[in-house]
Order: sequence, then C-alpha cells, then structure tokens
Amino acid sequence: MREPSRPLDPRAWLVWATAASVPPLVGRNPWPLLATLCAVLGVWGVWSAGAAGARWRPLLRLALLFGAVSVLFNLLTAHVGDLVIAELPEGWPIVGGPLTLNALIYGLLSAIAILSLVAVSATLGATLDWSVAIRLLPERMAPLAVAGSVAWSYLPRTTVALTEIREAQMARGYRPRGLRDAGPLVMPLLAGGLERAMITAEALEARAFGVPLSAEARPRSWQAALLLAGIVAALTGIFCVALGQMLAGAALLALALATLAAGLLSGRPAKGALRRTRYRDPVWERPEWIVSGVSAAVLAVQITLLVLDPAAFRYEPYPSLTAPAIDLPLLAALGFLLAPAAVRP
Amino acid sequence: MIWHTVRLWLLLSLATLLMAILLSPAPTRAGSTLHHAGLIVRDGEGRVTYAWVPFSEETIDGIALLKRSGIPVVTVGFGALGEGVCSIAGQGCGAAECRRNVCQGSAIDAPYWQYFKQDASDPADWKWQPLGASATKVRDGDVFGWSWTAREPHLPGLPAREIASLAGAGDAAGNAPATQTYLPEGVSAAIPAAPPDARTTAIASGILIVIAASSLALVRRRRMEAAA
Repeated sequence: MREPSRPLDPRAWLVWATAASVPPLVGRNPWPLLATLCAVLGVWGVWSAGAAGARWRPLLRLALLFGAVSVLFNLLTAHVGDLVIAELPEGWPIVGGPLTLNALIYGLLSAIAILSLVAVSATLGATLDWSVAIRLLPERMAPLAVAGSVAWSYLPRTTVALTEIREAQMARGYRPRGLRDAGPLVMPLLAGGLERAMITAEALEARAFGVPLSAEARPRSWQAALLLAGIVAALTGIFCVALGQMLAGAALLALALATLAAGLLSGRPAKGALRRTRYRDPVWERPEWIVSGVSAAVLAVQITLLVLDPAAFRYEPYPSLTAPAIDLPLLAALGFLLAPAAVRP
Repeated sequence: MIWHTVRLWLLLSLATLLMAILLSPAPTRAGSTLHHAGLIVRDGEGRVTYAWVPFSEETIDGIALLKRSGIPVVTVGFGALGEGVCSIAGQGCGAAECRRNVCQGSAIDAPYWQYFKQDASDPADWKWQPLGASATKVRDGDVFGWSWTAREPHLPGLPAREIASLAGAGDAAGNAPATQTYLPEGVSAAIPAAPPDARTTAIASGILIVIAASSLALVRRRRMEAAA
C-alpha cells in the first residue's frame, strides 16, 4: 500500500490518542467501547501502510491473545451472576463454582477495551514522528523524551530482530518444534538486544546526550530549591485532594503553581544560552487543524459527560444482566474519531 | 537434564493437585437438623433488610450466609484471602474497582461494605470483623450485619428472635430463607435504572453501523488509491 505523503504533526496525534483512550479507560459500557474500537481500527487500517505498520501488527495479534485470556480468566474466576451456563466442582481451587454468562460478557468487554487501547498505541507507534515530537518538547525535557522514544521503539525492534533470527536459523535448516527449542532463539535475541543497547548508548554519547549544561544555562541553587518545593507541594496537594481534603489541597496546589512559576520564569536563561538548530519547522496545516480540533471537541464531550452522567461510560453485568445505558450524543461524537482516516495528507 | 527435572517437578505437582482434589472430603451434613442465622443489611440511605437463613451444616462462612439469604450480592475472589463484597442489593462498586480496593475510596469518609457481628449477650453491641466474611464461621443463632458506612454501623440492636420475625420467618424454624426490607421515612425503594427503549437502541445501533461502514469505506478507498 502507498505510504502517506507526509505524517501528521505529533501534537494532533496525541490529542486524538487521548480522546480515543477515554472510553476504554473509564468504563465497560459496550456502546462507547464498540464505537471507539470501530473508529480506531479504521484509522489504523488507513495509516498502517508500509514497514512501520508491519512492525506493530504483531502487537495487535498479541492483544487478541491477551483479550482471549482475559475472557477465559474472568469466566473461570468470577463466579457471580444470575445466568449460570455451566458449573465446575466447588472443591476445585479458584476455578470451582458456577460459570456465568455475566462473567463471560464482562470478560468480552474487557477484551474489547484492551484491543482498543493497544490499537491506539499501535497507531501512535506506526505514525508518530519521534524526532519531531522530541523537538516540540521544552529544552529541559529533551533527555526524558529521548529515553521515552528509545523505550517506545523497544518492542517493534525486538519483533524485527526475532523475525530475522528465525529466518536466518530456518535458512540453515533449523526447525523449532516446541518450548525446548526456544534456547537457540532466545540467546541470539538477548545478545542482539544487548548489542543494540550498546550501539544506542554510543550514538547518544556521540551526540553529547546527558552532558552537563553550560554555566549560564544551569539553574541556580535557589531556583532548584523553588522547583523542588513546588513539586513537593503539588504532590502533597494532589494527595490531599484524593483524600477529600479539598481546602488544604487547593491551598497546596496554588502554592505549588506560584512556586513553580517563580522558579521557571525567574530562572530563564539568557537568549542564546541554549542553542538548538532546526533543519525544518514542523508542518501544521489544514489536516492537523481538523484532527486536533475534532479530537479536542470529542474530548470535551467526554469530560462533560463524565461529570454530568458517568453511567454513559459505565456498565456492570453483575449481579443481573441488564441493558447498558445509551448516550446518543456520545456515540455520535465518538464517530468523529475517524477524522485522521478521512483527512490523511 | 534441567528439562527432565522441570518436567518431573511439573508432573509431581499436577499429580499432587489431582489427588488433593479427588481425595478432599465432601462438605459434611449434620443430619436433618437445620440451623439458622440472622442477617441485617443497612444501605447508605438507611434501608434495612432483615434475613433469616437456614443451613444444614454445622458452620458456614459469612459469604455463604449472605448468598443464601437471596439478597442480590456481587463478590470478587482474592484467592486464599477469600472473597470481597462489592455490592449488596445494587449498592457498592463495579467489579474492576472492587478488585482494586474493595470499593473503599481514598477519602476519609468514603463508605464501603463493612461487616459486623452482633454480641449474643448485648444485641446493641456490633463488633467489626477485621478478617472479613470468608474467614468468619457462622453458627446456629448467630447474627451478622453489613453496613454501607465509613464509620459507625448504625445497625439496629434487636435480638435474634425479633430479627427472624421482621424477616418474615415466623417461628424462626423454617427451611427456606426469609427476607424483608424496611424503608425509613422519606426514603423510597431502590429502583434500578430503566433500560433504554427500542427507538434509542435502534438509533444507537444505526450510529455504530455508520461508524463501522465509514471505517471500512475509508480503508477500502485508501487501498484502491494505493492500487491505482
């Protein structure tokens, strides 16, 4: 299949991925789950052309396997529900007891949620331009972004390496027959992984990754103290909010905001102290506006519904199997998650 | 060599597990004598359900008592630790949240299903059961209580005979569980949410079909573009 003429801007993809991840993360209502899965698979189908898509396809197959395991696990361990389909002897540890249709349906819904989240991640992995994404981050977050990109590429690189090792060994007449033949596959995979890690480390070292900042770019000790105090106040404030101590939490969060702002704004290095050159500015045109705008609108609808009517996302087939709630505006909004498939540049 | 050892170990483990299952004694039945235990469930709005439950075994656990009462209950298993109660009569939390924290929110005053045992000598004295219902032995004449609360149980201090009477068990010697719910003043019975009507379901199905068809059409269009 033909590859797209250019990738979408990472910011547009990140807004889309955030909006698409909400339904599987917050509930098990089958209506929004199915709508999200259909839209996400459509986007994956359009954008997964070429080598990048092929690298992430095994992850989707793995998600199907995990989904099947989730269905089986829930069926065998959740002995709750009014619709019994079979019964295992009570004396059997963990799995003993009635097997219910309720548990089977909850397992299926969990499998759909897992598949949706993995499809979102695979689409991001296949389409996100990491170099552009790293350049978009603030200067001080560059080491974190580089570490993130290395971690993100770990799975597809391992998949490629495994395929290459298998092909090389099969070309030499080696036919693995079972688990006991995994040794000759695992050892070169491990050795190759260590070798790739060394090469990556050398490449980062050669590009001065992690070197200390120049004296004028380095934050002063009082700025570091302000930032540390701000982070501690923010974390304590979040903890207080989680415990229901709203007043103390709000006061601490306000303090954190003020301290972090003071630390970041007063400590800005002089212009030119940090030099970063760009060969090409990121492209932000009509497709990016459409994808990010539509995804932000879908996200706004979802957040509003989470506050006003959380039942739109939630569903429990226990103890009785009932019809899940339907929210038509939410379903219609989720259809717009197809935007990246419709506006591919 | 190592594979041989692992295989031998696996075979021995499986054989031991199989023997444990096959040779484990069946639950003992105590002749024709029926025992009875009382149960009081108080939800967050103050509705109180009384139940009088017969059982033929010498003892049962607290989860079995709750399930045999006929009150709708959802539990999740925690392996050897027993079962956690997620919801009783529709109040509680979903299975996923229950697996994380047994419905206990992070706020100090967040309620969850707490389990108590009535003191036989003083019915007004309810003792919190820290080990949970799976680890509790229910004997003839015992009374247990469940309360959706953060602190005090607010369970009524009634003797077992009166609980049986309120549950509708008559002389407290019946062979079927009896259950009765009482509503406090100004509180109505818990009504489950009405299912969506046929028109809404049809529109929702239509939206899903449109999304799925659009996905397929877009993928097909890209493939045709690529082929061209």
